[in-house]
Amino acid sequence: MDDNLEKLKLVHLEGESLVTAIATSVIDSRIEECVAAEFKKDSRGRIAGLRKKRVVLQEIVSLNDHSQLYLVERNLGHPGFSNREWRSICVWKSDGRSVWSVYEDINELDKNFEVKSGNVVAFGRTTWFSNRFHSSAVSLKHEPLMCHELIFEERSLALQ
Amino acid sequence: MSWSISEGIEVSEDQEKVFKELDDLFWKEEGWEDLESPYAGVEMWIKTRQQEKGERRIPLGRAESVADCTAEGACAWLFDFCSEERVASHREEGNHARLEIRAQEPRLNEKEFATVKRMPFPLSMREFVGKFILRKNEDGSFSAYSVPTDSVIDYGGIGRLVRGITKVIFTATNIESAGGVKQCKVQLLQYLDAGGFIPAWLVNQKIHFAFGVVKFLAVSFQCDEEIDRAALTSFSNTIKNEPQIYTEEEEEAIERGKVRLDKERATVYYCTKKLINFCSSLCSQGIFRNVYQQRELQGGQNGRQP
Repeated sequence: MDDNLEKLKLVHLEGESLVTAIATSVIDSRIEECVAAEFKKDSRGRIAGLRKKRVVLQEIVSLNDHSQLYLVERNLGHPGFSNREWRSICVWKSDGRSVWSVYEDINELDKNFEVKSGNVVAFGRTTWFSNRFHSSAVSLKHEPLMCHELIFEERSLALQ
Repeated sequence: MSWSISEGIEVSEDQEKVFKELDDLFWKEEGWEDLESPYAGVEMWIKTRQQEKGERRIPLGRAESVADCTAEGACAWLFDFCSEERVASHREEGNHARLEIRAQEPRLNEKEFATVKRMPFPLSMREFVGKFILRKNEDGSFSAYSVPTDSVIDYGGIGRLVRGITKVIFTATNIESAGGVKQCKVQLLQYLDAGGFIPAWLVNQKIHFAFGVVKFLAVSFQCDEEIDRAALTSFSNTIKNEPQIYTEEEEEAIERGKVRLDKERATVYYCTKKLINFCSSLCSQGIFRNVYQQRELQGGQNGRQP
């Protein structure tokens, strides 16, 4: 993944199911569009690509414009492993210059969506930090079109 | 003679009879059961009660989807049975004839058709002959009814054919536009008797393939990119311009996320640093020395600077 614009650092301690990673990227887009593209999970383009990502099920419960409940079930792609379910709440907040999106585990979805038998509930905590990044083309009269993203993801497969 | 489907047309008595017969067939009794759909975005149901009453191997099926076009457009697409797109797809599937039959006294909202479908081995090919009748419903939706006819078609000797029977009600209703793209909800009700002897369980298992036309229609008019772009623009405007009110829990979640990012940045940095130190210590102990020496030697032989 490493190139001039995208960088990934990942730590996985042997014998543990916890992976911690930081990925950074520069995206040629407005900061709000980056956040919107990440936050909106039910766009037709994303839904069409779910099978390729081995997503078996995705449920989204919108709470308001800035938060939603998100359930995703994935097939890990290796025989012998049960499907994993992540159940989280996602909240974004903008301070004008940068936007934070945070994913945390919750169990509010358990009432309406019971854990399927045979599945394993995994946990993941993700923080997206999107920051405006000054374009090199400063002579243009438009506002800077690039934003700098820092992504933090800690995800456990909760192996059982 | 030109005619616009949206204007509607007066239907004749025999056409009214067809509408009533098919409405009774599909809606007289309840009993729709969910059917697993092989097509994304298409929901399906099946009704098998009539099989128990002696009408062997004939299930009733129902499929619903959303198409990115007007209801009139969807009905016109179905009515245009021999459009280039649909004939090409028919041939790609390895089927044989697909014909529109000219009537001696043509009606604007009626069209007779014939098609020959390939079946899996060892079944013979199936021939379906019927007619479509269009109408504008009182609620503003549009329907295309299809019933079998008894016309004899000369295909020019393509082999043994078994005549099947299909009865269809296709209804398209305009719904709210998405991202400036007009949309309609389409519903296909189908009675399919493939003729000959096919066990009921096999027919029930394969019925969903008869609904491929709903998926084909949705794909033909698909405007995913325009709709996604409009939704993205609308949401990014919300992020940029609309002030949000956060609850205490939401504020806390954001703060925890910020703290975690800083903490885990440090963890990753620490672990990376530790790994580098570990590798350096191995080098200093001479474990990697031979590898470096060999590389230097190879570089020297090839005339490269080490």
